[in-house]
Amino acid sequence: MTGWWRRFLVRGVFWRQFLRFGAVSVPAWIEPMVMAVWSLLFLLWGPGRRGVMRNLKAIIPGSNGVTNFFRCYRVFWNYAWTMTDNLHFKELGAVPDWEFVGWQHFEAMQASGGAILLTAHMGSYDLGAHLFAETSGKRIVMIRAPEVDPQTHAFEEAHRVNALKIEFNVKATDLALDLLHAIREGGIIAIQGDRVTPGISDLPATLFGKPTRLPAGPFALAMSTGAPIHPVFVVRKGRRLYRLVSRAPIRVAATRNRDEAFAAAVAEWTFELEDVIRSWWYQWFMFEDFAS
Amino acid sequence: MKMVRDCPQAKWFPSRHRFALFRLLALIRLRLSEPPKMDVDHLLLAIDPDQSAAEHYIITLWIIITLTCYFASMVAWPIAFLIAATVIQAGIVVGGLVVRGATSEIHSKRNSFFLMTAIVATSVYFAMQTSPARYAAWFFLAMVSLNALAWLILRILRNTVRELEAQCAS
Repeated sequence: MTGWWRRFLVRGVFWRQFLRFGAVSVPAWIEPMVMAVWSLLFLLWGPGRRGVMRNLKAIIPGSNGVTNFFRCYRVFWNYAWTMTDNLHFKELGAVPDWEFVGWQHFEAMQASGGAILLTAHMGSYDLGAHLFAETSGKRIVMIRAPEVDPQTHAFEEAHRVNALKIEFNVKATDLALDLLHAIREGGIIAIQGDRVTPGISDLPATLFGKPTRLPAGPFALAMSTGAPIHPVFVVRKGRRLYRLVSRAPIRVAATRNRDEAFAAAVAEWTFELEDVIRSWWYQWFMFEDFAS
Repeated sequence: MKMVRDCPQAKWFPSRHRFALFRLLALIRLRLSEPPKMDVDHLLLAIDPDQSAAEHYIITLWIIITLTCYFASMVAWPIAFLIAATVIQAGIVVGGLVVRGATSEIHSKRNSFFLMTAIVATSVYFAMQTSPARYAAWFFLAMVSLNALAWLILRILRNTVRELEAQCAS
């Protein structure tokens, strides 16, 4: 589809351009009001709203639809701020405040050879990666799903910060060798491990009591390289304030019984993921129903 | 951008606030209150005038209430609130397009000046009217004057501010 109107769809490029215009035009002292209005407007995005509300029902057992509607607004509000903070960093060089929790695990990751940084669609993945790239001497490769809309993809590519190497998770086999090399050379691979992109190999998992699929890539990489998986989450704590939460590393045993080793590692990962999402449900930017 | 590490009292540095009145309040708090405790492993604070959440939420709320009061002198309160919210959005877009320079795309500062001038001008207009909205306008203008006074005080105290802020090495 190449219709001109596609740019105005929810994932279309118009909104990214408009957001960028806003980030460089809106004075900071009126930003909260702008965020409040736009978060409200994005409640009109039916599929996203329903996805978030369904996920909230699983995260917060016994929660009702009306309360989850307002919770959904809080998710959109946080998402709007996160996107804006990311743009402020890119366009204005504005850095938020950072709190670090679980620093010993973060240091261990930096001190280790190659490692896999496994995170979720929470807070600002981009800002966290930029902070890491600025403070660490290590090479970091971010793996992310490409934008659905080609124009949006091109726009994001044109405005990305050069300090980071970003690879797009299009086909699992395309990247595998590059990532293996990067880890063996002591680099860090950052992957979001809470959502599967179509065409990517996955593993079965249980999240909040519901069956789901999680990306197999990080676990396969960890098994083949012996590198630890470090669960790291970037959580938005407030206006221009983020918390980097590092958890104990997960090791994937290199055994003949791959399925068992993967299942054990996935269970450890989902334990950490559930714990963080339960505490900061309003930061989990999962706009589709996570249950498979 | 300057960053300070593991110095929680830097949260109250005047230079982390935009408006002089808030910078002065931050200075008073920095001088009089106990330094906040570290409740995390490490802390990295940016020294940037737009960093204070409280300041920006208060200003936003105050602007929207003031504009709602102005419009409420013409229409019902709920409609006045909607008009105020819409006018601000429109003002940002119009201001952004008007002040956008040919060479620089980053124009939030110029837009900030444009919008604040527009709000002050509107307040002057309503301050001269007989409707109850004049009280909101007087309050707004009084705060603007107080901010100017705080700016003067901070000019006099600038060395004290510099010394206090030097306690956290970058």
